[in-house]
Amino acid sequence: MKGRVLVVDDDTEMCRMLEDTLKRRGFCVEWRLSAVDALSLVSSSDFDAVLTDVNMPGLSGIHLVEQLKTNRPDLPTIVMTAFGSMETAVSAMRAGAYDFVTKPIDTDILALALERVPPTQGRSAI
Amino acid sequence: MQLSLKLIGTAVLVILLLVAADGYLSYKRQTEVFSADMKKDARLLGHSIAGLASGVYVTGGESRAQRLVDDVNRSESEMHARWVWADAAAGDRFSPRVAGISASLLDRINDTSVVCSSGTASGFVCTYVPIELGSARRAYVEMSEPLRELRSYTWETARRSITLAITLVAAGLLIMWFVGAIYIAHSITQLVDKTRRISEGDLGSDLHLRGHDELTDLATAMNDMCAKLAAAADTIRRETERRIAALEQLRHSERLATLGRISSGIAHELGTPINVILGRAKIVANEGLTKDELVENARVISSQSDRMARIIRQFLDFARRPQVQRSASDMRAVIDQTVSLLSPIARKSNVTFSVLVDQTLRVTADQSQMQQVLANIILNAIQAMPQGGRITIATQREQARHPTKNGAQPGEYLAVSVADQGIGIPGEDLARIFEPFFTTKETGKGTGLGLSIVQDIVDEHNGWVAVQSTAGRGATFTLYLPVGDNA
Repeated sequence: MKGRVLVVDDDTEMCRMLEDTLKRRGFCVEWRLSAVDALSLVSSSDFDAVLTDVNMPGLSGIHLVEQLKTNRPDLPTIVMTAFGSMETAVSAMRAGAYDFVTKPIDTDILALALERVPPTQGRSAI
Repeated sequence: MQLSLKLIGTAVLVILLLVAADGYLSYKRQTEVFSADMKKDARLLGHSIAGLASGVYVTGGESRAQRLVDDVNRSESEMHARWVWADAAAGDRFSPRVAGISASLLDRINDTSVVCSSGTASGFVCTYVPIELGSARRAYVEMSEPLRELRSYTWETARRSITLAITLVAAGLLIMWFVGAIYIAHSITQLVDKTRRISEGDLGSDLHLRGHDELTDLATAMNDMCAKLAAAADTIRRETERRIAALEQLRHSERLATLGRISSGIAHELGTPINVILGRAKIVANEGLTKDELVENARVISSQSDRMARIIRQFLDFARRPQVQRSASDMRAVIDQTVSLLSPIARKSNVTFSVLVDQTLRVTADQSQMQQVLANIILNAIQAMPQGGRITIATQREQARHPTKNGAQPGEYLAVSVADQGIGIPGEDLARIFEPFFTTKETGKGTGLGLSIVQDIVDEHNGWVAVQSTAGRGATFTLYLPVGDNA
């Protein structure tokens, strides 16, 4: 068991794929389809990392990162950005993201990025 | 009545009048001449007999003189001579055949002729020539001749006139029927037929009439006119084709520009299923899966591939240059397809759709053009809401009157409204937004042709576009498309 990851993406199949992939690599995965739902879950459950998409209806991924930076500064976030959209990645990092991965997602690189996140308060590194 | 019949009728009437007048005058003249001849002959003969009788009366007495007068009648002449006393009582054998002829009248003149139409002298012309007796008693030679020959002669004259009139009318009818009914009517029928064909669009120079007259001149002029009209129509057709081709090219360019605007959204939309497929493929390749897990992964890969195919098909459907084809189209389907096509870019701009359409909406329209119209309006709405917002698409049937067509009657229209919550359109721009190349967007972000093409397309569908906006409070574009009998 490597840790609990919250996946946030507006596409169900994307969430399920990431859940399957990460579970097979030893992560415990929860997923939500919107940033608002994700914030609600984070306020009541504990996670070791949040993996979020950027473009989502309602609150965007960048806004989610900003909110988490304010509410849960110890919770590392990894942002999934489209290939070539370096500006988005930079915006995410400025907003407080710990790391970013580009789409199409290479699951090995994603797993590596998750494993690299620092331990949250009172918790060891995942 | 046909023109040729009127002409023939008029000509026949004129001939009849002329022949009748000629016959009447001829009859009158000949009657007078014949009558004058009769009287002249009677007087000449009467004077000869009176002279002889006068001599015999003096030398041989009354009886011999009267016998002389009677002897004249032994010839086979129609003329009959009689001795009459002016003072003989009516019914006496020597009284005048003309009853009531006065003695004073006979006294006053040397001779006189009377045409009688009544009494015993009816049908005779009677001429009285005085006989010199050398006494106070007046005697006359009465020369009477029946009018039978005169009447026979005048009847012959009248008969000849009538025969001539009938012959002339018959000949005239025949000639004029040939000229009028066959030639003129045939020519005019051809001219009328040609005029009708011209009004139906036949501009061939194929009218050929026989002869050389005003009608053939008219036919030649009509052929020349047709040739010029055909040349002009050909020029207009070529120009129209060129214009349509240019317009189609322009619209297609604008369509491709629209595609450019939505392509980033499409790319993002494709990114998600590609990620899912790649991820699932990697799971299948690297992990030891159970059969059920393999099947599930394959199902997901298949459904995501379908999703990509659908997105690409929508994109290509919009990109291809369609043949304009109007048919009974379901506007609800057009709205759904357009919203689906533009959802990625809307999502990217944090714009949501609210489609208040819950029934099939049949209009006679070109689906592809209608999709272009809606895409242009919706893309503008998305661009008008940089901070995101909602686009509401609603439809309703309305009784309306075309605002710019003179004399347009109220009819039933389908009103398709697209309302945004964007920055709105300033009042000074509202009047210009449908002008070609008018844009308030930054250079490179809009051709300025979108709304111009929207208006053109809707106009071609006999509808119109209405826009309502207040700066800062969004804009509503409403398409009015004729439906039902109004289409």
